[in-house]
Amino acid sequence: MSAPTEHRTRQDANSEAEQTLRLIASLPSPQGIESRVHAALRKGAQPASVVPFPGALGRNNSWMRSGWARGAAAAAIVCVVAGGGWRIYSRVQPPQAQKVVVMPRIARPGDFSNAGAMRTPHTLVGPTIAQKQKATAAEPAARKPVHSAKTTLRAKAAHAAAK
Amino acid sequence: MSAGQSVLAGWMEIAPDVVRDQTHQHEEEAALAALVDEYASTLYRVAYSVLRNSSDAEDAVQETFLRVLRHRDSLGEVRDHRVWLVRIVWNIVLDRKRRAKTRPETDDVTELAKVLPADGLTAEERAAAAQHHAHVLSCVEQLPEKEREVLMLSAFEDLSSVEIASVLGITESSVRSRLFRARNLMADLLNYTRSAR
Repeated sequence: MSAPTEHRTRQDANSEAEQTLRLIASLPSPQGIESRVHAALRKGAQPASVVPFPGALGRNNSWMRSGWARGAAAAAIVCVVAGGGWRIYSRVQPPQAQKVVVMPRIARPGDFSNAGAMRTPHTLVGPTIAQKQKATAAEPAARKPVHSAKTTLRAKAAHAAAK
Repeated sequence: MSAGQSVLAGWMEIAPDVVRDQTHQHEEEAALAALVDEYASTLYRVAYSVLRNSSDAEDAVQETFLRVLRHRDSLGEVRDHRVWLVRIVWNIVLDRKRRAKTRPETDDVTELAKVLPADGLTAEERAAAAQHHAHVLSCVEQLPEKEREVLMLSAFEDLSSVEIASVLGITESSVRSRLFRARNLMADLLNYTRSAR
């Protein structure tokens, strides 16, 4: 017995919903809606009237009716347009490529490498350690005699024997 | 007149065939006016069923006809003007509703109480009816979008399932299956809320 009751309840619920929707769908439209729409259309339909160019200046303008005046007007328009275009072109120029190419600093042996970086920040200049000047071939006398370990031991043994 | 001058003169004058023919324009305006007289009321009801606000619905109808005015050249190509217009107004109201989600929602009960027919009803009965309809509408709002759209359009008795399919841009069988699902969901929602009370 419960199945038909449930079925009826679902049907009732459906009919309630559709009744409400139908009621709203059948509500009368407000009076005078057509006239208001007509008015909106008249306001919205401002025709884009195309006026013939010489006619816009008046039919009785004799100077515009002559051929040379029209030619001059056309030439003036062309000049203005071309001049404007040239002005813009001459002001806006494509950016030129950088002419100077900065080479990456090459690390000297013993330095830290720059790991391939194109630019490295300037570091503070610290105290420099004075490098010992290497003896050159021009002054061999200044060089101290080099004693090998063998000769030193021999000398020490001779000194001990003499004592 | 030299050849150059004649070319310039021809260039500067607009040919008469470019200018719209006045009689043709008048015909289009008359056709549009006839559409307004015939379908403004139907479009208002469609718009109101979604927006549930009379001034918003009227705005939507006006916008529909303004769109038609802008595309009046294609009026002759339209086969069924009614379905075409319902489709336009439907898209407009859905768009407006999506945008209006950011605004506070209108009070359905108050709005319905204003517009419901009150013949032979006391103020209390009228308020109760408005409350009941508002409850049903809140359940409709809980339906998935596709099912809700079909259910709302099916309430318009003058729209067949073929026409609903044309408005929504789907097949007729899709309309039927969505309507079936919508009815089942509505029954569940209404029974659930009734038992919860």
